[in-house]
This record gives sequence, C-alpha cells and structure tokens, in this order.
Amino acid sequence: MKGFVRAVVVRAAAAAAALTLTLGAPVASHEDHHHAPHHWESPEIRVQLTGQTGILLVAWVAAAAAGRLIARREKERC
Amino acid sequence: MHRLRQILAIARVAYLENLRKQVLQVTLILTIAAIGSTTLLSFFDVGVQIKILKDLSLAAILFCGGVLAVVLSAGNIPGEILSHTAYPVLARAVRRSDYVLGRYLGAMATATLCMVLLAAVFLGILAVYQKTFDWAVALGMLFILIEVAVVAAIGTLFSLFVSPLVAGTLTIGVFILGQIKISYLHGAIERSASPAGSLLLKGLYAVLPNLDCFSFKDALVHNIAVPASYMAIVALYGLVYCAFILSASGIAFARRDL
Repeated sequence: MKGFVRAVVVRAAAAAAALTLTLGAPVASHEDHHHAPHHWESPEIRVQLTGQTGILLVAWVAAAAAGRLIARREKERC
Repeated sequence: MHRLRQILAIARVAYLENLRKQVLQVTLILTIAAIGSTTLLSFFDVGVQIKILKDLSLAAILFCGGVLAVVLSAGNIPGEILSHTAYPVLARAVRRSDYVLGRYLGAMATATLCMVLLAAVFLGILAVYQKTFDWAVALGMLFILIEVAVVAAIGTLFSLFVSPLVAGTLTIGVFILGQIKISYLHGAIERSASPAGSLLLKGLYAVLPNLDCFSFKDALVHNIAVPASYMAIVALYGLVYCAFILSASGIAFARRDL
C-alpha cells in the first residue's frame, strides 16, 4: 500500500511538472502567434502535404503487397 | 471475416489491459484538473477567458494525448513477448501483422476513450461559457486524435526493434520534433550556414511526420476559418501515414525471430 501511494505521488509530481512546462509555452508565446504565418495559409505546406500523402500511399500499397507475400510464404511453410 | 474477428479479439484484450495502467489514470486526472483550473480565471473578461480556456485546454489535451500515445504503444507488444503471453496467440493461425494491428487498435481504443472523456469535460465547460456547443473545437479534437494515432503507430514500430524504454524515448523525440517541424525546422534549414548541418536538418525534415499540421489551436482560439480542403488533406495524410507505418510494423514483426 505504501509503495503504491509513493508510486502514484512520484508519477503525479512528474506529470504535473511536465504539464506545467507544456502549459507555460502557449501563454508565453501568445503574442508571437499573431505575427507568425499559419500552416493552413501556406500553399507550400499544402503542396508538401499532398506530395507526402502520395508517396506514403504508394509506399503503403508496396508494404501491404510485401506483407501479403510474407504471409503466403508463412502459410506454405506451415 | 474470421481475420477481422481475430483482430478485434486481440484489440479487446489489449484495451482491457491498458485500462488498468496507473499512468493512464494519473495523466487523465491531471489533465481534467488542468482543464477545470482554467475556470478559476474569473478576473478576465468572458471573451479573454474563453480564449485562455481553449488555448490551455487544447495544449493540455495534446500533451495528454502524446503521453498516452507513447505509454500505450512503446510497451504494447514487447511487454507481451517478455511475459510470454503473446506466444499462445501467435502459435494459432493468427498472422503476425494482424497481431500488431490488433494490439495497436486496442491501444487506440484506450486513447480514444480518454480523449472522449477529456473532450466531454472541455466542451461541457466551453458550452457553459459560450451558451452553444462548439462544433469547430470538437473537430479540432478529432485532429488531435489523428495525431495521437500517428504517434502511437510510430511508437509501435519503434517497439519492435528496441526496448520499451528506448522506444518510448524515441517516440517522445519524434512527437516533440514533429510538433516544431514546420514552425522551427523549416526556418532552421534556411538559416543554417554549414552544408553538413543543412543536409542533416533536411534529412530530419523529410523523415519526421508533419505533426504541427494537425494542430488548429490558433484557428480555434482566434476564430479563424480553415479551408475544408486543407483539413481533408491533413486527415488523409494522417490516416495514410498510420496505414503505412502499421504495414511496415507488420512486416518487421513477421520477419522477427521470436
């Protein structure tokens, strides 16, 4: 019981410290946000995302085909 | 149909196992406390208070989602192998890729449950202040969930090659670097004076997922409209990223000598 309480307290303290640091960031950078360009406004980011999605789609199809081949070989071996 | 039933059975077991994790409960309670504490800022105008509520709560939920993704994915499969509970399942006619997918879906079911709980608290408080249900914020929460799904998929892939601790650390690194990819790394490449440094940053930029694209916090806080076509691209990017990483994880696990 003592060990459990200690574990919970230590983890809660660590999580609270990390949460405080994370929550501090948006408040501190609140002023900068008005001047920085947003990612949804940038045509460059949009093109980048579309290109990466295309590449990932091709890679996924290739990986899925390879996975099916491996599974078939596994089945044949059994 | 039989395969789907197998995947769902594995996911159900993983989901029930994850629910008992202490770190999950502690993170959830702390995040709810962080969201609730924003209601104490009653000395601001209602408009400012709503902005701060959205800003802090979305940051807290993103942080909680990141923690959940790392914790649930890094030890998901290695833990089962170390405790030998994976072997009876894999000894049956279960594909290894299906096992990976089932474990991942179990972790994501747990993460989704937590995110739904957090969303209910956050949207409930917001509805009290705004007198209406904020659909835009609910949509923003959905994108945070897609981001969590991407990070969890990466964590699952790492966990198949290295120990859970290293996998967790690497996933945290990807989560943090992915958050600053467009906002910081993009500028750092342009500012970099040395060719070697620029090349390293470009490599890092190409490999890292665009996690900051899933964040519409600024738009939600300042009520800026985001094009629906852009949101569709981001959602598709996230889903395809998850699918590719999980396929790669399935291959990696199938080739592994257990």
